[in-house]
Amino acid sequence: MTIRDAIKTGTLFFDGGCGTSLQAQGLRPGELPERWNLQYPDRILALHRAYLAAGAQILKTNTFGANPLKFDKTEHKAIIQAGAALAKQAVADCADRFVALDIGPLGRLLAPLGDLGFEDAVTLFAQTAEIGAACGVDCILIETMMDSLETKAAVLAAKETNLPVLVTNTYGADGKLLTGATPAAMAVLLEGLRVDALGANCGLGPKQLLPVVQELSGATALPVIVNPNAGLPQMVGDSAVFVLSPEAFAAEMAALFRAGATLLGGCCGTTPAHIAALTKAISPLASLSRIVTPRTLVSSYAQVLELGKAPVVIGERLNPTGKPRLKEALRAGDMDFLVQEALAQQNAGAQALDVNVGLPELDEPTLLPRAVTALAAAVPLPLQLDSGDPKALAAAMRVYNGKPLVNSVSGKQESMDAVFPLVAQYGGVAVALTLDEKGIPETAEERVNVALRIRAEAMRYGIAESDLLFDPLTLPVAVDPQNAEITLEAVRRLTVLGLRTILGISNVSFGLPDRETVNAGFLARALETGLSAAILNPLSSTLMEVAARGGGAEYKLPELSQAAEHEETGSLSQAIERGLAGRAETLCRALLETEAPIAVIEGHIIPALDAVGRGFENKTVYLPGLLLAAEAAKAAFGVARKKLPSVGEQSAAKTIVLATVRGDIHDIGKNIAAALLENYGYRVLDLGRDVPPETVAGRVLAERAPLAGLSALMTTTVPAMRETIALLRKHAPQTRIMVGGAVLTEALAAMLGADCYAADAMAGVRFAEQVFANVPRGTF
Amino acid sequence: MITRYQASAAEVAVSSEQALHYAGQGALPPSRELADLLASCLVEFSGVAAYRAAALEVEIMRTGAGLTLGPLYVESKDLSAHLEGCDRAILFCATVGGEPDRLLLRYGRQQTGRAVLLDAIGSAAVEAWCDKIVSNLAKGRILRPRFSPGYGDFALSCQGDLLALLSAAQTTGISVTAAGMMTPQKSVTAVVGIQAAMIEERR
Repeated sequence: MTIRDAIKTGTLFFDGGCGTSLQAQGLRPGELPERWNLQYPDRILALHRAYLAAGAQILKTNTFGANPLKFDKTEHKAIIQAGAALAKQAVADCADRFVALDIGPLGRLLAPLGDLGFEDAVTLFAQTAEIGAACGVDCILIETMMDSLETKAAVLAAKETNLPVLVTNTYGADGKLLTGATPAAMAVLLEGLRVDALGANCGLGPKQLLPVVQELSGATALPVIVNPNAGLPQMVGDSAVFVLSPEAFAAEMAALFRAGATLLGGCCGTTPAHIAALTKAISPLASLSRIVTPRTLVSSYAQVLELGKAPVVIGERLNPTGKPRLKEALRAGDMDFLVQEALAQQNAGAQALDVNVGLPELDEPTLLPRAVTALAAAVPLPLQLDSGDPKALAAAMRVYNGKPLVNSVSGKQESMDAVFPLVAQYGGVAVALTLDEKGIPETAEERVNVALRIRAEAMRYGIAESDLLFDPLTLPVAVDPQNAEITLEAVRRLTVLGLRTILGISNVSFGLPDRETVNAGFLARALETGLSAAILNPLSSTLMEVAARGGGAEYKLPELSQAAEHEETGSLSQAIERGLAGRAETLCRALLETEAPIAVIEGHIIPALDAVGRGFENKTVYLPGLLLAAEAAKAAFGVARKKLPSVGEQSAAKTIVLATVRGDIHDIGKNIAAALLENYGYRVLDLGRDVPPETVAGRVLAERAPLAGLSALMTTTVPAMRETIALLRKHAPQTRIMVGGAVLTEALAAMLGADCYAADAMAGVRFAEQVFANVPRGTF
Repeated sequence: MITRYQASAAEVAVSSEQALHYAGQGALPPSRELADLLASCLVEFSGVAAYRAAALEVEIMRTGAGLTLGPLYVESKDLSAHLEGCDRAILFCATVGGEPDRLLLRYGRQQTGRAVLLDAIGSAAVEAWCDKIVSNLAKGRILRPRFSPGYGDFALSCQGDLLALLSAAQTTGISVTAAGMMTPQKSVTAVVGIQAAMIEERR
């Protein structure tokens, strides 16, 4: 029997703790246990044999920490080969005993929370997986993973070997991974990636893992693994020990078995005695089969969203069509703007967000994954990756931290040939447009027929109908009044067939006046007909009210947070000084009724800002107050600028390039500087954090920026700052350079060759004023 | 053996005053608006904070120019001076979890005031968490204040050694970037000296 068959058909037992068992044999803290494969192979072999004798059926190789970041190439390979050989030697004469290549975390957090690139992580994992696969292991166990994105990188690497892939994550006392993923979110992500089994290990004891196992069993049809510690460590005398006895461990494990886990073993603190007790306690129980109905699930790092129950609202606003400000942000690579647009839609009640970055002049396969990475790291809603370019979809699906909606595939053979392999590889729910080579069918019946053909083709890739969301296409009623009826009839027929449906709402009113009313009416009809998901503008309260009614009691509109800022008296200047953004916006709008925009800016906003800035310098206002005032001023600027005759009044000569230097992932100081400089009217190009010197120099040159600001927090990144300054001096000698950050001092800044040490954000503003006072327009 | 700790947000009290101090609020009391925003940030932070830590008690040996803290050899005059009169030490690492870092990504550039407060709350929280662990480990003994890599001549590179010793990737999820920064951002490694019993008696 292969391990794939074995895990599908019944209960299997893993071995128990390795590191803690080796500590009992003298492994010292900080000593790398994997080296024992070469130093004390007899001890490792004896441990494997003890676990086999206890009834374990899957042995983990002693390779948990064997990765190319910890060991040099030769030792890395030798340790894995020895580890695999020892486990294989142990099972050599046993039938139906398996060896799992054990892969643990790399010990570096992935970007953007850490600094390790996603593809770098895949490559590192692949090196371990390839060596193990060549040794003839039966499967790969990826374990103790605390970050969902790193787990995905490991799975993609492991899948390349074509071996069965088993995955267990380590959940904290809060029931989540270190970086926030819930058990259900992990189950959805991993099932999408087509792993063979998934579960939990380490961190907690069996009792504490019960809710995790319950959540996993409810969210996946795959076999569930659980390898807990021997309880929570407790202090006995001077040292902490795992206190759960073998019998108590086995008793608690029985509850996990009843909750649906069928692959059972142990982690830290468990011994062959624990596994012996476990196999004795569980074996007599009949193998339980879980009945799991297929559901349509997508996920983000944090949340799982089900389609096909209450209707789901997908926000449409992350799409540059007709949105000049978003176009500008995409061209500038300003991902923070995208994050704020996403948050606005989330606050308005959107449950997922469509992301489209298609602009003719931009390279979508580069930009879409970048946007998706930035959004997925900061916003907890699942994303709908929207592109007509399969290369862009592939790149974004690969790095997406979850199981996405994929928009879209159609009944055209070329489209299915391109998109379905991606869904099979990376996981996702595909939005299937009911059109084919002949175009959009004119009748509902024909559109349903196209849907059924798409479903049949998807099955060839192992994609279930629960991973398809059919879009019978909304066409403008202005073109033909029958258009809406045909679409709705198609929704009805697809729903009767038990299929999930989705529609973009706003196209129905194309070319008509009062589009919102038309959209609302169409949405209401579609929801009554059984529509599963609507792509719409969640900032329209009319549409959101309709969506809320159509969704029944489960669906609630979020409370309006703006209501908290109650009516008050006071001037615009006062609102800015007190940091009331909502109030500043309202007052600014009122002032614009009677005053010219430029008068409002120069007569009210800038004086208020100056007053706060001086207050900060005189220590009557502190940093939080300064920043809140800056945000309020920004809100007021936003209103006033809309009334200005033309955009682009910020001349290119007022451009400042800001960056946190290479290797530094702390950017709060740089963000403070950017917020204030923008307020003072400068065009800030924020390159973000961990920025290589060449990127800074390249951008400064391309923008002909008279001023660059660099930030570094720690001594370890000072060399990167020195390097960046040297490169700027070489290629852009006219550009002045200011530096800031916790590690810097006036003296250090001078030593590095900077023109200015900005001790705080206002110091940066003052230096900028000085620099730009000396830059005659157009001379740079 | 390494002791592991976990706590939920409810178990660690984060001081508003301390958070405001880290945010640079100086001596002035906060305005009503700032107090409201701080309260809302505290709620948001406690919704995602997940405290983890690991600790190991070791013997201190003095060897020539350096110190041996269990299996860890350190050359640092400042640490040596700080541990004068101690015969044992607690090595530990602690974090508030990775999700608070997402809040900084979420609000970083567009809602900088909020981001600064959340960052400050994270600093106050990890300090409070460290204090809680250390007091738990004291068990009636007199402890010296925490001393972290990067203080004085205690090399920052020792951070990686401390984390390896504590199996931090497995026990807490704390790791170090290529440039030597800890992730999650709000993480601490430190050495706490335990005063030798003799000195305790003399006092």
